[in-house]
Order: sequence, then structure tokens, then C-alpha cells
Amino acid sequence: VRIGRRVEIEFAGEADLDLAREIADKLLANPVIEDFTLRTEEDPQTDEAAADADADARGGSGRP
Amino acid sequence: VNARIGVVTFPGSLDDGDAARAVRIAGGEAVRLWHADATVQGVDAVVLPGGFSYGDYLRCGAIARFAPVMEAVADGARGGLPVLGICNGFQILCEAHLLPGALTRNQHLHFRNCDQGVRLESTGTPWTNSFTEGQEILIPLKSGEGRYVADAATLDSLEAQGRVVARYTRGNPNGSQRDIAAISNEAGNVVGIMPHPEHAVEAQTGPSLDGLTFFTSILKHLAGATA
Repeated sequence: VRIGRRVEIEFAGEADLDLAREIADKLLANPVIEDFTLRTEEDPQTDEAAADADADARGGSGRP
Repeated sequence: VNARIGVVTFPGSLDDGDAARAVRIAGGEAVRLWHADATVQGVDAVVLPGGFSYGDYLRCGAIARFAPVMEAVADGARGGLPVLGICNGFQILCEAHLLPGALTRNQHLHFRNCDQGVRLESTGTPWTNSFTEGQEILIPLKSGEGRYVADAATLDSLEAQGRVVARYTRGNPNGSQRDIAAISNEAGNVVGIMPHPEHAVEAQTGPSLDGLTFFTSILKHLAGATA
């Protein structure tokens, strides 16, 4: 079973992956109990890129 | 001069009133601190109370960690300022990396509200110096995310360094690893505890008066420090 959350961060212009990673590491996920991955997606309509942070909860820390 | 103990109120804090009251009953002066404060107003020690700071959004304590007052608390803690985090305060201390590990959802997924047996294992901290080692006390526990977790190496070093301050007795209420109810940082000045000492300071409302000893301990510590 995989429980997690998906957070979309929208950037005006170029996606800043380093910034997205810092936001995920310091706030969106707790690296002590969660893993996260980053992924960029082009939005064909607005031509803006989005970075997705997927936090996978381990050890039963998932919330309803 | 009475020792001044700061009690921080975050939006969503619940037990700040009781924590301040416990400080006063123990004989100290309670100084109410606000989450948006840039300083801790020169207090001698700080209590981070229980509750649901910022609605527990994201994770318990995850947002409180970034409150302006926490910068002053963290600076002070690194310099030896005694800090006690109770329940949500414990969660905030872990999120702020002032304590190792994390508090996660209770293993059985249910909120637990009960009078909990706890055994004091370290009386070397400023918050527990007036207990006797191995003393069993009864104080309220009320939490849904009270399960302490850390990797095995961290747990081993906590045990080896005598930093497991208290363990649950008469049954583990939440699946906490190694029955851990309270831990300290390496220096011992920062302590996080999941059950609530501040709710066990008066016969009329508490299951015991055992919780008061945390607050008389800090006053004794501060009296010794200034003597």
C-alpha cells in the first residue's frame, strides 16, 4: 500500500528544481519519515512548467 | 526574583493556559510568548505547549517550526536554554530538528485519551531533576500522532547516551518505538514529552500531582544556575 500526497508547484517561467527540492525537503516532506521525488511537467496551454513533489509516507505516517 | 518561564502560543495551541498555570503553581512566573514574536523576551526557559498549531496542516508541528519565535527558541536551545515541548510541542521540536526522530500517527490509528503510566529514566535533565530514577508517574495522554519513531541507530544512541527521558508503562498506548514517551537532546536542555505533565498539577483536575515535578525541577535548576 502506498499512501502519499502530490503537491504541484507552479512557476512563472522556468521551473526552479533546486528551489522546489528545498521547499520539499524543508517543508512539504519530513525526510525523517518520508521520501519525496521531483518531476517537472510542461503545461501545454500556458507553457508553464510545474514541479511535482510526491511524498511517500513510510512507517504508517500517512494521514487520512 | 522569580524564574521567568516562557509559554509560547501558536495559532491552534490548546494547552498554553494550563502550562502557564502549572508554572505559576510551581512558584515561577509564566511569561506568555506569541508565535510572531522575534524574541523570547529574555526568559529563563521555554515551554512549547500541546495543541494543534496551525491546524496540524501538512504534518503536526511542520508549520510552527517556521514561526518567527521558533528562531529565537532554536537559537536559545542551541545555547543551552532549557526547552520543554509537550505533545504538539514535542512534534515541533522534532520538526525543527532540535530533537531527533519524528512523531507519527498512532499505530492503531485511533486517538488516545487516557491517564498514562510513565516511568522516568533520566533525571539528569533540567526538567526532571526532582524525580527519582525509575519513578513511575501517572499523567494524561491525549494524542493521535504520538508514536515516536527514529532509525535503529538513532534509537540505540538515545539509549546509550541516557537520552530516553521517559517510557510508557502498563502498556504502550500508541506503538511508540521502544515505549518512548520522552527524549532529550544531547546536552539535555531540550526535552520532548508526549503525555501532559501540565494537566497533572492539581488534585481537582488531574489524575495525580506528578506533573508538577517537571515544573519544580526547572525552577530548582534555574535557582541553582543563578546561585
